[in-house]
Amino acid sequence: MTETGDSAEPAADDAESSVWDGDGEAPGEGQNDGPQATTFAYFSLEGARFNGPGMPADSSREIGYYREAIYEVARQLYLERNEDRSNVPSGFEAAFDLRLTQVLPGSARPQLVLPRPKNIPNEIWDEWSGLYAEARDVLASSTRTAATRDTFPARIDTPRTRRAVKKVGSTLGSDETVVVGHPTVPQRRARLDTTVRDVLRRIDDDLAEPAKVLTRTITGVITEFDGVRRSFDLRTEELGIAKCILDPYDDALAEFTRTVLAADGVTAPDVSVEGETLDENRRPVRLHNVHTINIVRGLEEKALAARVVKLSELQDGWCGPNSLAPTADVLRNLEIVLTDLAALALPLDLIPGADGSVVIELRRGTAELSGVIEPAGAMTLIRDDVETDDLQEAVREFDAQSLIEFLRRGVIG
Amino acid sequence: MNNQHGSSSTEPETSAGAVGKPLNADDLVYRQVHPMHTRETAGGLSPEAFTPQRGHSNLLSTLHGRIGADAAFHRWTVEMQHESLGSFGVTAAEVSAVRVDPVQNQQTVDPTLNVYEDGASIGVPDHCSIDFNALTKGQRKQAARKLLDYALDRGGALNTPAEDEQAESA
Repeated sequence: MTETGDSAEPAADDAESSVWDGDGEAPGEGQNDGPQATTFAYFSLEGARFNGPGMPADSSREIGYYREAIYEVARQLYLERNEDRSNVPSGFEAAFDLRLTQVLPGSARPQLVLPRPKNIPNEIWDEWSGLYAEARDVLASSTRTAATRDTFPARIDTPRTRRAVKKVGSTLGSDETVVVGHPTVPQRRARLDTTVRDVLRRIDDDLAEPAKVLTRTITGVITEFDGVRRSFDLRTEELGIAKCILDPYDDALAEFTRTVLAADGVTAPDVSVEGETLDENRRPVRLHNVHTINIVRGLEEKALAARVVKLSELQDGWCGPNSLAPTADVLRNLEIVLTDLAALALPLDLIPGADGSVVIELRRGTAELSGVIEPAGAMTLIRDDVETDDLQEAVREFDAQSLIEFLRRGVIG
Repeated sequence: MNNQHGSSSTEPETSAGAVGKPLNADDLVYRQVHPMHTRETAGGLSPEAFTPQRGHSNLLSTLHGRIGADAAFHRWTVEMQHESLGSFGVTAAEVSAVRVDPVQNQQTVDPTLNVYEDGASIGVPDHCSIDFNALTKGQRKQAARKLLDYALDRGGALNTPAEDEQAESA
């Protein structure tokens, strides 16, 4: 059985009656019967172990766990009503000074009262004590809900709350039960037997994602690379700079990272980086054990990339004796400009030269433009006007930016 | 061109040092065009098909037209196991007619092309070379574009299509 009453929503209408003002005799003192009107919460331990007088000393921890669970729910309720705040006000936790005054016979039933602190102004105490009482009832109803639906109500479903709630009853044996909740209304209590406690534990274990290693993929441009630490910065649009650490044993990946690095902080292909993180909400994002880096492509870029694959499949001698296939450095430089080439959205072609080069050809008006990416880091830019035969050419070191600019503007700068 | 090997004036030395024999103006030479020289995006062929490589001393390899377009294609694709779209032909006169922009302040020699039959000297029967050595890289590209235009004006691939290609076109 998981419920002690119906699932009516708890109310805080009895906050006044469930706290002690701290003057005079403490509630329950000198009495041996049921819960008092001024008792803050009902708490009963059931099982053979608790049939004797008082309460086993080693079960007193359960009161502390119950107090902690109520406090965490109260904290969440406070934050829910004060969206502009990231934490509860100073003194909010200390003021929840739940006290045990006596233990009633039968099942161990410690009397729990909540004295009003002297240093808290009345209007604040009214608010806080109301929240504590509401939290007590929300905790009971949420526990009943969790037991039947395997989930906590969203309003209090946080890792802190789940962790605190699953501790309640955690020291008890499988044949022992704790009943907690409203001091006088049985319908506002929850019964945590071993089955319910298992459900609470499982919910928290399933949702405790921050403790798990998560695989995450982020897209951006690599702007900094530290070869010694094997780490790099990935500039992303949504997450800012992500700190990434490479798989320490993957030398090829480290080399590839270097080739897709934006040396000028700008000119490099977008890459998707897959690695592991312990907390996906942390900023800056940190990815460990990065094991995959792929160049990200749009449709136009994919068409160009497919052509690059064909170029890379050529073998020396492909175009006759002594002809050379595109060299590794030529293909690497081509990969670097591929995203920008696609972004031009112009009908350009990638043609292999027989000397290991690749020619980017583009017709602009009457001009045929050739950007020749050559081995050993060289490039030649050629502008050939097919009507006038006016010819311009420049031989330079490979430079991605000036190559793209040449193709974009059609002039050799 | 100098003839340091004492050959007759009709067999001048090419810039690569091989002895070459000039062709008659109407003689055709066939160039094999690799499929990778197709412009997949813009359509047509790239002048790279007629651009020589430095590894060949900037000499563009062709075969003499007397063997026929089919034989030239066969030698290249069957005997030498290379890929080709077909035998593209230009005449010696067309080669000689190619003029390129002198590219101001960069040119020290006459930017013209020459074609020689040099098969005997390199051990490849019927081999002819079109000599681009006097040209800059840009000029070679422009000259190649003009040679390609001549070849395309002549109809492109001049060899008989393979049976499967004939079936496709039918």
